[in-house]
Amino acid sequence: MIEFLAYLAAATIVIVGIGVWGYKIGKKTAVDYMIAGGALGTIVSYFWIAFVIYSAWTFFGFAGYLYLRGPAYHLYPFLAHLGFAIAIWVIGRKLFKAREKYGVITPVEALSRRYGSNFVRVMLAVILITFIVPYIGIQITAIGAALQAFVGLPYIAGVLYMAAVMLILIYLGGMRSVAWANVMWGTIMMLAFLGSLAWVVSASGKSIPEMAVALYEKDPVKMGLGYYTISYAMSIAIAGFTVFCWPHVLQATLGMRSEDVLKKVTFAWLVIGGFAVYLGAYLWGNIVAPYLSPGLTGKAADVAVLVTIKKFTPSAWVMFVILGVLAAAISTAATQLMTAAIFTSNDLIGVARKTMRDEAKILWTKIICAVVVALSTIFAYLYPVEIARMLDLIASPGYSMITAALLGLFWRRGTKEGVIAATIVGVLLLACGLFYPPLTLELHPVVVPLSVSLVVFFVVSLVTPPPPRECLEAFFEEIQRPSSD
Amino acid sequence: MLCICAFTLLLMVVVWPFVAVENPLFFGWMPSMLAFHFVVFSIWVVSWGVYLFSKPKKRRGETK
Repeated sequence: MIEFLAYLAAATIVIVGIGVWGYKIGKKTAVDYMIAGGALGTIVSYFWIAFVIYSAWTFFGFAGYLYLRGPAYHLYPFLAHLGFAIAIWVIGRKLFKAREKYGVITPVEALSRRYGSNFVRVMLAVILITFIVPYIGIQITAIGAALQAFVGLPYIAGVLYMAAVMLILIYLGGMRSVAWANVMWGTIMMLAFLGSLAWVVSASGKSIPEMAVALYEKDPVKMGLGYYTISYAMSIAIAGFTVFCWPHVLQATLGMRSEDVLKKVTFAWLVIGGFAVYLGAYLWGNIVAPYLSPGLTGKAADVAVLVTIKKFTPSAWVMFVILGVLAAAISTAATQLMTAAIFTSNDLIGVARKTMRDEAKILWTKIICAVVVALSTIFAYLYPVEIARMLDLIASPGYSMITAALLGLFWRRGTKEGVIAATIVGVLLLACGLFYPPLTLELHPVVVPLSVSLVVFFVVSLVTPPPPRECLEAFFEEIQRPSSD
Repeated sequence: MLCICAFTLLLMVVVWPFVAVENPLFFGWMPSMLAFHFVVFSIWVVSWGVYLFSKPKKRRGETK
């Protein structure tokens, strides 16, 4: 425990330093506080985006799925890599242009301009905030549980530490500090996750191919498709692909300095994700942990990676890995928290109060951060088991319900009526599927609601009058022209 | 670019599950998922690299 507390103290000092630095150089404007002035370069933007995405789930949930049921779940992050590349470059570039031209600071604001509708803005903001809150709770839960199981700290101590660190970062430096902190968290996580893989494989005396062959001889099904039906495996892939809707990832694209940065981040995302992080995650969950730590069942499988690391490395390294898990969780949750607060202050309160000074926007963002942290912490404390199921069943599928709205960035005929109908139908079906599982047709929960939502979007858009000409010109033609200033 | 993405999606989503049932280990040691992972990501990295970093074609009538 002493080693962990020493690591934690060092990381906390760095975090406070980043927060204070962000506070000192911040210009105290809404744009500066919420999207770091739109001035972030390639390295910080890469770490910001990548480690918003790689969360505690990479260590726990994902590895646990592979460990228990075989490799088909790898289709989710696999296709998600393509989905995120599309989010950063294809959608992100549109949002970036809207920021350049009209000064929008959230994806929701850009979409409301596209459809010329404040109702669309409020509806999308409410839906996204609703799905972000439990996601933050998942990260907090994971940390509380990990610190309790592996370090011996009380569950509530981990939960409160995480809440405090997020608030320090956000209160002092806003999105700039959160983004820069991700550079540190991301480096720690990569070292812990991939360094442990190399260390454990080397210490075990077996090569990865030898482990794969041994596992195949023991259970050929699990090394093949695994315990999934082919149709469910395909639906997992579809669910993975839909991550291009994740609001905190789209929000991050608005903080980048130029299109060139967007381009480089997209490429770095594919290379590092494909040949390091998720390759490592797959090897951990499907081969190394099942071979070296067999026999874990149920929720115990979620910590298969940590159990394996504990067997083969000294305790000082295990404590560093726990810090890596904490890093993964905080880097994700802090950005999500900031995103939820920005959506509330900019797209809900901002719509209700037409003229709002920057100081008021920043103050509201801080207040909402505290409220969201309190709500997520209470959820994490009271419902740790239920909240753990929410990422797969609710949070990520919930974000996908804005797919129709995003399609309108590329399809001129899409109307606000189409978006409203599609989003409401999709969310209702998602909620119904949660309480009445036969509605999902034994597929991933996102597939049926998303398919129906898209059909509704196209049909309603085609039978309603086209969007106002000025909205289309503003978003499809004017936006392409370089700014005069 | 769209064609390449569609082709690789097809490869991963439609072909892999069937291949995995019949042939879990390639060459007697490599899990089929690992093999598909390498192939598809290599295709993505090369095609996205070319798409992102190649110079845009000049439009007709455009001068330096």
